[in-house]
Amino acid sequence: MEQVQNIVSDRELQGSNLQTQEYFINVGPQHPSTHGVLHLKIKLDGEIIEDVDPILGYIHRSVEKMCEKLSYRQIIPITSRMDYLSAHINNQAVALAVEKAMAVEVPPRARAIRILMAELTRIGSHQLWWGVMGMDLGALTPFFWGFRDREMITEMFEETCGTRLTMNYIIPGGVATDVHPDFIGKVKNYIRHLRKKLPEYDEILTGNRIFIERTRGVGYLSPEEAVSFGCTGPTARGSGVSCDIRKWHSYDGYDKLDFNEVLFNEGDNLARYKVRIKEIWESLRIIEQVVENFPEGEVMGKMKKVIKLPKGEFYQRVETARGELGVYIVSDGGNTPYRIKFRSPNFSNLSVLKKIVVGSKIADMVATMSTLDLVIPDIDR
Amino acid sequence: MIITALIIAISVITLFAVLGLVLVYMERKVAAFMQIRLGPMRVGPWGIAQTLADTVKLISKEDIIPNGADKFLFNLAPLMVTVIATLALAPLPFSDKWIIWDSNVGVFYVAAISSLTVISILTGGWASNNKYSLIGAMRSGAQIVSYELSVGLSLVAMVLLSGSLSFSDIVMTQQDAWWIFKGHLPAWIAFMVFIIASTAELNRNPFDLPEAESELTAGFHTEYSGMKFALFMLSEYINMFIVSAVAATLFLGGWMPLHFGQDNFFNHIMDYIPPLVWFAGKVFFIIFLIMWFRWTFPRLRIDQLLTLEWKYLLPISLINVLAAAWITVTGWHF
Amino acid sequence: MKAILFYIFSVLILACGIFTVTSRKIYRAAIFLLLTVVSVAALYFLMEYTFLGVVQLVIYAGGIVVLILFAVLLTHDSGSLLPPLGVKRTVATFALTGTGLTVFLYTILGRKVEPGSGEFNEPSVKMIGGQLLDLYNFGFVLPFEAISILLLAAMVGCIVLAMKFSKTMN
Repeated sequence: MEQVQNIVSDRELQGSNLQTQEYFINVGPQHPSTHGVLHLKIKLDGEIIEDVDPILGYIHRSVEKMCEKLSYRQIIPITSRMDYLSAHINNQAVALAVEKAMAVEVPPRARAIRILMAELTRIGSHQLWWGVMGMDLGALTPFFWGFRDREMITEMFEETCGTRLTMNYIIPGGVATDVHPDFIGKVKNYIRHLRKKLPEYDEILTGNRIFIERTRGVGYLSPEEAVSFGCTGPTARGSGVSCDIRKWHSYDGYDKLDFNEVLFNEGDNLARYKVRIKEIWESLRIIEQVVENFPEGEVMGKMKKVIKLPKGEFYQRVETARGELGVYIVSDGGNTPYRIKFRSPNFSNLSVLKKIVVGSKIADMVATMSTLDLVIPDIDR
Repeated sequence: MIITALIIAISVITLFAVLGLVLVYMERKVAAFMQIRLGPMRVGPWGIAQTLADTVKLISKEDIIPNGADKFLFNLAPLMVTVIATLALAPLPFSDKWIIWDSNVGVFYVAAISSLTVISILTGGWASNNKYSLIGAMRSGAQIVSYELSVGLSLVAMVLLSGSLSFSDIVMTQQDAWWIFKGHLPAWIAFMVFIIASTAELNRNPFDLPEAESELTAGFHTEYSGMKFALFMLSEYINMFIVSAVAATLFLGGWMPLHFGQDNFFNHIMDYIPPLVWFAGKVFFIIFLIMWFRWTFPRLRIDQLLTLEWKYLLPISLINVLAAAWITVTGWHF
Repeated sequence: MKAILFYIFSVLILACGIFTVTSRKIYRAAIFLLLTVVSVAALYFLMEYTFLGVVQLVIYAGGIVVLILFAVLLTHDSGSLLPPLGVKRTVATFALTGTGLTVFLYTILGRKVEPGSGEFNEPSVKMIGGQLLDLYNFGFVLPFEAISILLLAAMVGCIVLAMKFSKTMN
């Protein structure tokens, strides 16, 4: 054995003729696993990733600059197009920031509707993510199951808001119109439906041996790194970092509702997966509570025809399906913001990618990217 | 003799085309029903002409050869994969009278021919001059070469039990019961190992790493378009048919009707169903099984794939061969 | 019919053999080698010596050519043209192959070859197996075991080559 070792170490000393060579591949901007126009430049040694370099900007629309020329009501439709899977929650963030600046009281019914819409959005977003996660790991059936259940949510949105993806429904002062008369009944039906269907999700994907092998211990993100990279949402909560804005900086009456912040300490892909599945259950609980005590009354607070923010700086944060969305408005007293800045959750979540995939295999990178749940237009804005 | 050869050639090509159409249609329907969809419904009743329409589309598509590709090898690879799939059809008995070439080394021959498939995949991946294709080809090579061992050993176990390398002899040994019923533990283990390992050899989910859509876009056939792509697809389905036919013949009696014991009333009833129907039924059952895997399982990672083969399947099948030999020597099977 | 097929395959063997040596792309050379090997197998099948044909396919086509292809795939820059042979090498190669061909032709043309009489009976698999492990009657058990040891040594060598020792072990 020692002789063998000597031979091998001799070879290493001689500079080894068994050297391997790294090579680059470009994943994206058109690639099935990036779910958008993200471009990753990957340095590979065989199948193992040595370096990842995300290249952004393929879908940059200069949202922030555009907003400087738009009135506060016109900003709302622009935000719907950032994280298009959390359109309601993006709208809500701007609406809340404006209301905070103007000190407007939002009627209770509007607040209840906002919570309903936000939580339904969260469920829909997680369902879509769940299907795509399965697809990234090679199981195609979950994709269709997830979309089947998300479709019902989209239909409810369409009935009330008129659109399916970019809602523009939550506006400063309340919501645009009252909900459709059938809405509450349908939501109640949907809760019953989803409580039956969610265990099926576990049967086809969560309980699968291959799925667990593929996700457990893969893409480990330590809580310290999660904090230092500014990760939020399920990505950070999978590492045990408590960061739910709904709990810490409650808005629109979340503090009066009984729900838990979902935390897992493992920090791997499976933990991030479990967080999102559990969050669907928690969102169902929230919706149930709101629907049971659905207040009557106005859906629009007292707002002026032309919204003018007082001079100053305003910040509002909300919890989207992907993490913390911050809206920072600098106003010079006019009817357009002097400067507006969105702190989008996906940008920070993407930044951690390099940290957690280097050293793993290509297949693991795809799985990890999937559990980060990236929406590219929100990164580029 | 020339006329016989011509008739055989024409019928094999027809079988190829028909199988391709039927299996693609079946795959889409199976997938659709598992995914709460209807699948193709527009072309013809229940969409049965959909695959035909797709074939016309594929034929009429532009044939793209990427810059920097090795043209000769790029064109050779789809041809090779088709020829290899055709060759493997030869010794399979479709019924008691339908067999192209009743070889006395049929099982060995099919194993040998199917070991050539990897060459065409490697060639296609290498000649495309695309890194995704190259990674796909490398994965495919590692995968097929490893899983060939388990397939071979499970075949060896069955050859030991039946005492012959000829497919028609093996079918005849199952007159009193199929091997899956009378082969005891070795036959069951061999059946499971064979199904798992041959799914891997077919590059199908959960072992579809060489194609791995979400990782490598389409793996070794990323750059192929039109009819050349169709040939790769077609031969994948033909290979699936061959694998299922081999499994049906070795473990489920091939064209042999369901028999128990010798010459009793039950056997005579079963004999009324024609052998071809028995054969097709068993083959399509196993094909359905393989499709079922594809639409419910996630994909393995490359190291897990190799671990499964080298640490689990291979030792299991090695021990299984010993067990099969022991049972054959002591005559414990009936 | 058989004669036609025989000539087709013979031409294939010769042509692919020549292409194997003359091709300047290493991957193409390997593929031509594959075609040569498969054509030889086809000749065995034509002679109804199926067992040997299948063995030829498994070992040469499925084993050796696949190994060569793997090596090519793993090599950097395998797509480029190989450098052309110099004059010295070309002359040396022609001289060597010419000598070989002359000796070969002289040997077979100097003898009278008569067509075989009677039917050729392919030995059954059982006979081959028995002979392979036979201790007496000109059995092949000694070469069989010798080859096993050789393969074992090769396997150990492979493992040593592929093994990575941790730095702390030294």
